Amino acid sequence: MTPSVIFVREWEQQMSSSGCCGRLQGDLLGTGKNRVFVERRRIMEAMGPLYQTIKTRFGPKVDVTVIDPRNLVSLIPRLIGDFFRYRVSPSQAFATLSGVSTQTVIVNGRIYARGAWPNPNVLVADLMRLSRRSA
Amino acid sequence: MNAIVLVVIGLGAFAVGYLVYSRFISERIYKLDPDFQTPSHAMEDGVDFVPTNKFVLWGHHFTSVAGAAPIIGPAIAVIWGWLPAFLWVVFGTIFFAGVHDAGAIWASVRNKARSVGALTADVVGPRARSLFMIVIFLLLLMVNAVFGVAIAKLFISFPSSVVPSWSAIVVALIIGYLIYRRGVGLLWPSIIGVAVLYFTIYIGDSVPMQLPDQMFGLAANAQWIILLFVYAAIASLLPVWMLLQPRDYINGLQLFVGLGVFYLAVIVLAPDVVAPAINDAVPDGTPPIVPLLFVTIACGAISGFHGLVASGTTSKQLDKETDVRFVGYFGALGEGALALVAIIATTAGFATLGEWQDIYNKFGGGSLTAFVNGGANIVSEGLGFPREFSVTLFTVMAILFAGTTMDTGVRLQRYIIQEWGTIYSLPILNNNAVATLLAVGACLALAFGAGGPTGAGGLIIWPLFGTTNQLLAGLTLLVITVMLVKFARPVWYTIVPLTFLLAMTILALLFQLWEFYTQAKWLLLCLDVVILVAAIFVALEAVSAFMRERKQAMLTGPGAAE
Repeated sequence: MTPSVIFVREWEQQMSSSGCCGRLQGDLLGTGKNRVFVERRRIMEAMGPLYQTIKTRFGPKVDVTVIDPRNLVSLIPRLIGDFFRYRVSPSQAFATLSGVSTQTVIVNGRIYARGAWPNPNVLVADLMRLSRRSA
Repeated sequence: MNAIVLVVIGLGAFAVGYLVYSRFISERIYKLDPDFQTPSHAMEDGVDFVPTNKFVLWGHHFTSVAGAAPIIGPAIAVIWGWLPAFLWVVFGTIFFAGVHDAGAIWASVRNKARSVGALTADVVGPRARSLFMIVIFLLLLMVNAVFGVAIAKLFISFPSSVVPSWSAIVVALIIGYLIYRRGVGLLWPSIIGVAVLYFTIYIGDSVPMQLPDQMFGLAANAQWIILLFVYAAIASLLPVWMLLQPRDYINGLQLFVGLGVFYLAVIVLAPDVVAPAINDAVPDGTPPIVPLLFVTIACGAISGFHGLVASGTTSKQLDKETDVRFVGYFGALGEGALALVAIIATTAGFATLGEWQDIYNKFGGGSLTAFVNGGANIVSEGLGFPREFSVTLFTVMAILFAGTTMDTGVRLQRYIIQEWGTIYSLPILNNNAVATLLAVGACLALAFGAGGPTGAGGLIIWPLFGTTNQLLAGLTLLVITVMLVKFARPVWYTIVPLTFLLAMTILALLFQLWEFYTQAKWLLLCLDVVILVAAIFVALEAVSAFMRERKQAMLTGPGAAE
């Protein structure tokens, strides 16, 4: 079975209540000292090399998804699907749901890393082990 | 007429629109190509450009576009009867909004995911960037003023909403601290935060809060408006992680809970629509339905701001070009469904026609009150919730959406003022406090200038906001039309909405110009003139750009751009 990797991190945009009337995103993110979402931007940029490493190394052999945690209508169903697909126990599923943060890596329905992006080489090695096990 | 009939017809029409019209637009006009390498692949970097499954992307896109405006517009517009509002929402969503939102994504994807603002400058010319920022600033000015007035009216009409609404700020601050400073998982603080919010809504009726009728010569309504802008000024200066970011989690959950609860209640209760299909007894002073209907309901039929969302983030995540249909068009339908909620709440949530007419006794007068009362009646009778709880629930939902917009709006206005300070070498404008004071001052001047000494009449600004939003949509449709000309594709499907929008916008502006002149509302008259000049400029540039590109396409041959 293809391993599933979900990178949970926020996009550099506001995502509520102002769809019609004014929101912080795109051209309206400010410049210089007014630049908004500095921390989010840092997390996004730090994830880039990790993402590129996984995609380059595994291509379609690993299902990689990046989801904004505010996108609950997509995140929750996706996690539930992975819980069933990868036979995650109820306690582990609860731990995953409880542990999702603004910077999380979830592998096969279980939290692999949170609060900081893992070392790409370590993640690659672990994914290779998972791939061999499921093969 | 039973409200279920409206739901079935409305959602059914949306389904047909998606299955038939969006397929036609996607295959024959935009000719979405599954093999086209989208920017998410061509520039894939895991930072900004990330190919994303269309279902995930739709969730992201829809959560980003939903807001309070699809509630206010229809809630005002039903004064002309439910049928015109319903028809404009349904047909506008299918033939205008869907085409616009999907087209904005397509146009951006075909241009390396550049924003509508940048593309407008390419298509219309170098002046377009300045025009774009002026239009945005005016939009923000008006929406902040209107939302300030709207929230104040809700606080006065429903004192039970005061404690929960302000408590939500405390809840958001705590969530922000836990999530962004303590690294706590997102789900439980969000759920507990929303639960606490619902608890304060539950007890809100026991602790109603009202300001004194008069204080320092200000009526209660005026006091609330000023307090709200003081809040907006402070909130706009706070680091975003503290308040704005955590509100995304509260508001997102509220949106889906609110939608789900309301539609369930409608299905269970099946209320009758008591408002007339066409109101032939509109109150004195109500403007003519044409053109005002089409600018009173902007979001929910077509909204220019969606183009910004489409081209800001969505186009950078689009996996296949063919996903434009699901993400963009279907996303627009979601907004239409939200507008339907407002129409049903404000026309079927009352026991008698007389009760409805008591609320709709003045243009713009009863809209939000009608939404809250009507929605609460349906939910409490349909699902058995205590009525006062339902009233406070709907009020707080509307207030939280509008309040977040005020925070963002003032912040954005400050940025634009500071950008002008840099462009025109006025360093004082770069000072945060000065720029914020100017932004808030402009909004207060508009709120009281339009609404009178108490500010209560401020909803009169709403159609002007609608015209400006439609103008933004017109700019986006212009970009899409020019691209279609370059690709030698049929342009009727964007030119007709573009022409209609510009015609209605200009007519509405001219009508209101006369109204403001006869009523000596000089501030609104000046604003109207500025927007009218911008609208005429867009119309002239549209013709010029279209003729230019058509001539170019004839010289280079059909489909050369592909």
